[in-house]
Amino acid sequence: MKINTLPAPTWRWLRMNQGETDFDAGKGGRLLIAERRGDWTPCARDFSAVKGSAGEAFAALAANMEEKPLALSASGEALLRLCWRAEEGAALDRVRIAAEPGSRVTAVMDIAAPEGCSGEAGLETLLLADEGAELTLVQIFRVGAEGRSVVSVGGECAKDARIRLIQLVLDGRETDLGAHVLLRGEGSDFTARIGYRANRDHRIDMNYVVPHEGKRTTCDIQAAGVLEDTARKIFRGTIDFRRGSAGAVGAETEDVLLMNDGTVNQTIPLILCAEEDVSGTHGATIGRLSEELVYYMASRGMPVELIYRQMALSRLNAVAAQIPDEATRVAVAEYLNGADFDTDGTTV
Amino acid sequence: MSEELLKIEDLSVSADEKSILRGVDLAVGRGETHVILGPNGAGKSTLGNAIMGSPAYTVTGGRITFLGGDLLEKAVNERARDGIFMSFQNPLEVPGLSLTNFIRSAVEMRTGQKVRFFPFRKELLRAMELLDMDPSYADRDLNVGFSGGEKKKAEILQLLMLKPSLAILDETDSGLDVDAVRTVSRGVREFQKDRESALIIITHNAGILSSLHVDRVHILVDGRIVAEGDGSLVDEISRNGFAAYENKA
Amino acid sequence: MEKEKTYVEDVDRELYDFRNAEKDVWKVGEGLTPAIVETISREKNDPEWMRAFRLKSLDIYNRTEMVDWGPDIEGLDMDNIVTYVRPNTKMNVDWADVPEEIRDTFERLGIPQAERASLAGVGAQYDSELVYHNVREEVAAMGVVYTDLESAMHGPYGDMIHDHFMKLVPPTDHKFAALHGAVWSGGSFVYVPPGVTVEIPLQSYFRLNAPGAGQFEHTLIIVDEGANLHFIEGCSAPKYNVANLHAGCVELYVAKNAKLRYSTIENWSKNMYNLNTKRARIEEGGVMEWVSGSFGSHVSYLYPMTLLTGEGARMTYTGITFAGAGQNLDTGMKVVHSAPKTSSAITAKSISKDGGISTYRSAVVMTEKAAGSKSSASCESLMLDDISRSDTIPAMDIRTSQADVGHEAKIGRISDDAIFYLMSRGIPEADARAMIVSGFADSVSKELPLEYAVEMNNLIRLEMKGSIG
Repeated sequence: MKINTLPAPTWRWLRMNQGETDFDAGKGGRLLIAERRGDWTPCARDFSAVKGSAGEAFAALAANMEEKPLALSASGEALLRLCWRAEEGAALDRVRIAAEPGSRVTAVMDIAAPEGCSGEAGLETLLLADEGAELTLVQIFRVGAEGRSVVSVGGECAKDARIRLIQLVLDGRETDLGAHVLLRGEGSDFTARIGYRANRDHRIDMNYVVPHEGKRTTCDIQAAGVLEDTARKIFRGTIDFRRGSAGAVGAETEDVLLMNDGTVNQTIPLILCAEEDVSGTHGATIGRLSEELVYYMASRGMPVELIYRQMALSRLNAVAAQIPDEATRVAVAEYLNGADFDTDGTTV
Repeated sequence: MSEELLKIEDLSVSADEKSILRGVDLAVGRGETHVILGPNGAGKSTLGNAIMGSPAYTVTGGRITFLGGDLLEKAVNERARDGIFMSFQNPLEVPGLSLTNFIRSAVEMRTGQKVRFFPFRKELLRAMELLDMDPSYADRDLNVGFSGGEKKKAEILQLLMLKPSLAILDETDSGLDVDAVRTVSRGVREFQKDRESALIIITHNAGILSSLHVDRVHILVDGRIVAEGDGSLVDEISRNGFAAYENKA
Repeated sequence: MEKEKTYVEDVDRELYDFRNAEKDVWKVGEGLTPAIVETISREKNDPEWMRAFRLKSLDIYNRTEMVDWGPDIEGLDMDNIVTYVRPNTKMNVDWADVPEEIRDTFERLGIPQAERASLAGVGAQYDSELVYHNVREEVAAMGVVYTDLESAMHGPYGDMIHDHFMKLVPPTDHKFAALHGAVWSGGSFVYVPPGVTVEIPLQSYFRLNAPGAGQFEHTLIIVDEGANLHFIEGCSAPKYNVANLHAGCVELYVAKNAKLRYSTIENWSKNMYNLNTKRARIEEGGVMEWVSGSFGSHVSYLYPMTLLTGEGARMTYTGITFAGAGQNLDTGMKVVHSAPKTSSAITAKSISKDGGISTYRSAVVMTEKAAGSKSSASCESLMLDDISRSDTIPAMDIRTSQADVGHEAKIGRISDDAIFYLMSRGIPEADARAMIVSGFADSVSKELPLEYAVEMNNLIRLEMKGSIG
């Protein structure tokens, strides 16, 4: 099926207009609630208008699942930690979270598999942030070198609501991810911090779409990653200023470190604009480290190889540091430590 | 002169195909403190960067010998490992890498040994105290969000932790207020204490030098050293500026 | 109190919007059939290879799908487009021999005057055929060839044309490239021998007068080793109520250490579908410079493409697009770095007003062979009201780690801070706005020869007053 479709297509020869996956799942039920803090109640809200980043085909697949979605609503200060339990074969689970007015809600999803497991994680997460709510979604992908994840995130912000997204791709044979966040309410905001690394022949396919509808809405998408061996990655990021979004500000930046020749790095940062009084920017830096930075680090005794390792790691660390939940932060640090890279920045 | 550490002979350096240094000679012995003074654009920072091995500069002639070996053949990190340190005018920011981990890596590179964490941490915090640095900076990302003054202090902190045998301070005093200059000077005096390490201080004003012992002063104008003398030359420049030397180049 | 806003006037097209009655012209029927292609080929006295090439292209055209990613071109019905219109004259080397009405057209466009003042040679195309072609004697004496493609095919450069014609842009490239291959007519052939520097520019001017017609000129330029050329292309047409089509093709070959600057001021009328294809191949140490101003057309698809195939090859692209009412201008560039140490620098600007749509579309590709290459792009869009549209769609595909790729884009309106700053220096608001808009276009106009910069500034005439909203 086609997933992660670019909102405004471009030349077909670039092969960037959409991703393609043969992911298919007939069942779910692999999601476990690991921790629940604060005031959570079952949620009967209608999420059918919330579009997910993976697109319609994936949404249709999700809609066919027998298992009901995990639908929860939170008020006040609340935290939910979910684990996606890997087994062989594919499974698709659905999560719906509503953050009630003025709430501070954090949802952490740890999508993990033991090394060597070729389990396939499908996850559709739809979010509603009510007036003045701040909803933080953290997704950690660590499904081992053989695992695969296909993740769709959709969200809508009411007036002065904020959705924060942290996604960290630590490994996986194939990872499809992204977020579609509609800034409907005046003054609403979306912030995304994305960190990824891919090596071997692994593939990462990303799609971020932020339609600005409300006045003075803001978004800031920052992605930083590292590619090695023959890894392939595509980053699609779309800031869509719709008519009426006067005063909106959107920014996206991508910073990609290529460790060797032979990787495939595709980046397509769109700004669509149908409103005069807006400001949109994007920037991309791709390739090697700046000569100045390498010189500075080398002048402190580090050989070039180590500098690259260190900078690769620091990118992921910088995103991991944003995770509000300490247990997850520690788990990520340990995972980074164990997997080829040395966390504390000393010799490998 | 005491045992020779660094010897520069007839050094010429260019950047962007523009000639900057034109035949510089300089010898620095162990435990000595040398000052390079000169007006803006004279090539002072170029000299420091040539010693450190910046890729932005090309050595077009001459030699640099360090501890008897040919320095120009060595990579930047090898020069650091061998004991050369330079404080940068504009230290770089690295999100995701803490100041502690950075210095720890650098110390391991310098000593070739794994650092034992607790003694290292203790020494680091002591040095930070000497430099009036808030201990919380130890766990902050390298130079990220540091003020200009904090960045300079972090450079001196690295100097104290790495214990190089030759330290080059490139305009470390520029842009600092009086208190910060005093703090930085205190750090530099601490470094001078062992009388084993040599120091090259590159500056265009004499402020930082007032509380430091100086062995030798070199006036660099237009890519050449036009005058040399003892510490008293600093006072003369403070009074009269470089005008008298500018047409000697 | 009503807030006064600067009204930025539409591109003034009066200068270009005069039409001549069609008389004594010969044209083929509407639409596209093998018979029509055969007729064009016969009329043009094609060599046999070209006749076969046209028919093969037609076949490809019929088998190729319509583009599905850009502006809407449904208003373009190929069954209604006349692909070949021959004016009633042969090609001339003296303006005096050009029929009065056509000569008058070019006089009003200022072409003969410019030729006398500042050009090394001029080609003028009226509908499907060149009506005038001339090059200064001293330039011709250096071995520079500047002529129409048709006659060149039969002359000493026939083999060279055969070896280069639609090799960079093959008919399989896209549907309108195939169409071009089938019905192309007119255009120029330029050859600059090794080491020759043409000091002043050559210019071709394309005028489409016939309603409901297509113009399919082919420009083939070969700048040989170490040579240097500036080529200027201008285009315009009067406005009709039926769709006109421009599907030209430009192929540029820049040899080792050679340099070519290709400047375009495009000012087609607003019933024009401008589906032009331009491509350049740059060898070792060569330099390609594109300067592009897009003001006219109803719909444009225009993305000059550069293939940096030799070590150290470089290219710059400087473009501005101004989309007003009824216009959907999809412009940008493509560059493929496939050799070490190549570089590209891109500056793109666009202005949208009165419901106009401008899209900046680009592709920067670096293959594994492009170690040590650099690319930097800066793209800025200015929205002058909230009924217009401005999209930015830049794609990057980087496959070498030894790359240094930077891309920046900005979209927005005239900054209040900038207005405030200028006003704080005593400049009235209206003047401040006008200064900022013309300053915005300045980076492109300063790349043009003076008289074209003046033309461009005339095109964007900035009116100070008027109160909207």
